[in-house]
Amino acid sequence: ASLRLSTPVPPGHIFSKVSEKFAEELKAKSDGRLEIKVFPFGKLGRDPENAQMLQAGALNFAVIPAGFMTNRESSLNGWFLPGLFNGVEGAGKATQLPAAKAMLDKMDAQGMVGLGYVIAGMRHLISVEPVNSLMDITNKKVRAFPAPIFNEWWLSNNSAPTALPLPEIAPALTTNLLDIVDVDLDLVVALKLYQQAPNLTLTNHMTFPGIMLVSKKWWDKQSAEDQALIREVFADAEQWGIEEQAKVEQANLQTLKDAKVNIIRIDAADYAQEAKSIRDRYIENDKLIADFYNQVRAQQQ
Amino acid sequence: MLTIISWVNRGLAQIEKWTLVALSASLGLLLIVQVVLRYLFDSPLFWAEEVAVQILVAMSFLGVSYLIYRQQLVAIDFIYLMLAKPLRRLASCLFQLVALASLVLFAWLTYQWVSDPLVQSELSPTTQLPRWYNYSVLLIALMAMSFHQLVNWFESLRNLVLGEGV
Amino acid sequence: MITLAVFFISLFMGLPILITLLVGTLVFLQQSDLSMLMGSLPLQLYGSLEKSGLLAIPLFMMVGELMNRGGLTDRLIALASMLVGRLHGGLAYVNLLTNAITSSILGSALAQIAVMSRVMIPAMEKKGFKRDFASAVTVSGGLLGPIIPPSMVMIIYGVIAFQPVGALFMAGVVPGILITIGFAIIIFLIGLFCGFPREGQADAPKVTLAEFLKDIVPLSIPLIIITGIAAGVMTPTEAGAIGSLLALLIGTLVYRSLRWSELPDVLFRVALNAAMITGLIASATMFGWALSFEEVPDRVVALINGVTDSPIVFLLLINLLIIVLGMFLESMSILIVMVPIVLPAALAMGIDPIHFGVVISLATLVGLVTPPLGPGLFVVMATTPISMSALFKSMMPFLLMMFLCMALINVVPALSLWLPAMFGLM
Ligand code: NA
Ligand code: NA
Repeated sequence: ASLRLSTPVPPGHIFSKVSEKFAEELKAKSDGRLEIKVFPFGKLGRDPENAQMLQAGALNFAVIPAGFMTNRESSLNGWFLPGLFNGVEGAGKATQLPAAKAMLDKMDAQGMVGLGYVIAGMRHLISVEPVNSLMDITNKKVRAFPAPIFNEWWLSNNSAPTALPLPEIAPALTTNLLDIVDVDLDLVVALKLYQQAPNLTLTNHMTFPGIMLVSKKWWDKQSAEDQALIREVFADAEQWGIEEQAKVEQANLQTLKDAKVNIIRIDAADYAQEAKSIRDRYIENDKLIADFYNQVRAQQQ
Repeated sequence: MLTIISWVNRGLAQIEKWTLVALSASLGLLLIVQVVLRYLFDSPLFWAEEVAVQILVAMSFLGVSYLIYRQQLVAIDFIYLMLAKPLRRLASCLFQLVALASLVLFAWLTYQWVSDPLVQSELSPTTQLPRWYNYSVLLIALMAMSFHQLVNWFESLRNLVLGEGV
Repeated sequence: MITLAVFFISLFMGLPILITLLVGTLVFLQQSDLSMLMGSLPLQLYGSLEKSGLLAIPLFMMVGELMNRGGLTDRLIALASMLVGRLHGGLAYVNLLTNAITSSILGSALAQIAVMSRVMIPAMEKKGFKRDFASAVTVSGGLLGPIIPPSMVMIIYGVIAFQPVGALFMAGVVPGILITIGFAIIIFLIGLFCGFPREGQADAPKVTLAEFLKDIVPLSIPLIIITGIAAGVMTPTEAGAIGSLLALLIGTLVYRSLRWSELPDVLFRVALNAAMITGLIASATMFGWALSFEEVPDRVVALINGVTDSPIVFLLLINLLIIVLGMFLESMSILIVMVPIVLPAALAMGIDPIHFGVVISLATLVGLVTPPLGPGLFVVMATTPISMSALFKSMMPFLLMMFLCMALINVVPALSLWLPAMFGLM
């Protein structure tokens, strides 16, 4: 029987595309011995179920957003320090840093093996009213990913973070239940959110990595050669994913320009003060986050 | 012995009943407060939705347990009702046992899951409380369901032996 | 195969559906060599209810329960008599109109039929209407419950199909009005050809302004709920919360027919009724999840795609399938089991998921009133001495009209999609 890989997103999303690429290459390089069937769209489960099945050995592979895994491994919050990266390429390079690899090693304690990262699009804001500076979001309702650092970030900007399920976002924008969505361009294009909220503010305030995780129970039963092969094949898929997402990011931006979306830019420098207060708190509490931050800054020099 | 069991069974159901009343009331209250905070004060509670969902989950499983106590779960029984009475008692006794076995198995699986150290380390994204606090509601409910089902099975067994009821 | 056999034998031998789904899942995993998944079942059971869309279920039940206890439903019946009671065959129209109005509060057809049959059938019989006709009008009117928002069926569809519940609610409004008009035509035609009793007219109360104002108060609740959702002031869940608050206040303070001491009992019934549905959702979702490991849904899609590539033929097949299943299975479980399997095929054919939600919800309703398993018929039979065959026979004209409306709604997506699109909900 083939191995199972679960992703929480549609087949067109980079998490699923990298998974397919990985499955394809692995089958070829193992002469058909290691065959993976990709189940996208959360067919086998959403993030909590995927994590549990990996631990139990009921599932072989899954891409799980790092944002979800922060609830189990807090050093992953390093990825979400606001204003740390200004694009997919920069975040992609950071996946190779020793501190980023050290975060993956920590997955071992969760009964999982972290093979590497899949970098999704950068986080921006799409809004009903134009957002020209972060002052404009004061008292506004922002849909945010349900994890503490997202919540803290929007609270520190004096806005009201709201956790809302994906299908409710578009209607909530029309009906002013929501003013702003903290979102990547993939989702804006896929759900055509610009029809409800025609203003896009490119903030690059956070990156949004997924982690390719393997069930440790299954992994430990594989031969050293197979383990090395799987790692090697995923390393290629990881790089392919970063380049692919950089292209997708450009294409998405073009789609939005063609759709006459009002595009505004805010530099990281414009929210440096708020970003620093969050960053200092996380760096102080976690040595690995401090290392990650310093290594990223050094890499960016 | 049987009197004690049925006394415990009724006591358990009373506890379930008043817990359900409390859960139902807090669900309504929480969501009304959330609407007021959202519209009048523009400051919704970040955790309201999640806590409300957890209340719904607890209400669902405890409610199912009470429904098992009252034997009021939705069932399709038109063929069963066509059977002759003695046959009906036999089928009832058999299927009550199947139900008991599956509930006990689920309770055991849930115990394994809730007591797993990896599961115990997981925190809720919005409240930052350990998730297994919530999960153990399922374990408690399944144990209560199993107990009610055990009593139901005893009853069907007694009916079968004595040729009474149904 | 073994799973299927165990599943159907248990189901028809009276093992509760929820328990049958638990047993079915265990047997399926055992049979397909997937026993390592058993450890994941508890989280699956738990996680399937962690969906905020489901919150609307207990809240709309709360609105309905509080409205009934607070005497608000009776006021609505009085209001309907005032409006259409003077027509020839008045009470039949009153019955239908009251059903349409209370449908905008109650979310389930069974609750609707239960409430209305206690009140309307004896009233119509007293005025000389035949018992089977009175029952048929009541049951048919009850079918409006889940079409006119709010609707449990639509909430559940929304959660399973990942669609906004507000848009689904709005999508039901035009079809609901269409079917109401259709049923009114049937009542008119029956009156024309078979005649109504001479004393058939209701003693329609004189329309005095004071009476009218007193009876119209409860109507504010569905109005606030529907406009609140449509205008985007509230989510369906919040609308349910506000509706409950209003019903509580009106019932206790305005009409004074609801005592505070009754409140625990109301809350308890809400919890039990909600658990009856959500418990089923949890176990059916878990069963469906187990099936997806063996790619059962994908195989069904492939099978359907092999048969037809025309959306109309596809919808016809889905309707037939659900109506046949509806003869034996309870409607909520059909929805829970079928939607994850057939929705991907529908999307692949370019059918709008909101339109599909309306179509599939309508089809499950038919099952409520078709023998041998027709819960809607049982509810009436519990309060009114009438045989199932007599009841079903007198329902035939209404069912034919229902099929006609369904055909129209299937073929013309705009009937469902126009309103939610107008409010920008999709
Ligand atoms: Na309704
Ligand atoms: Na039926």
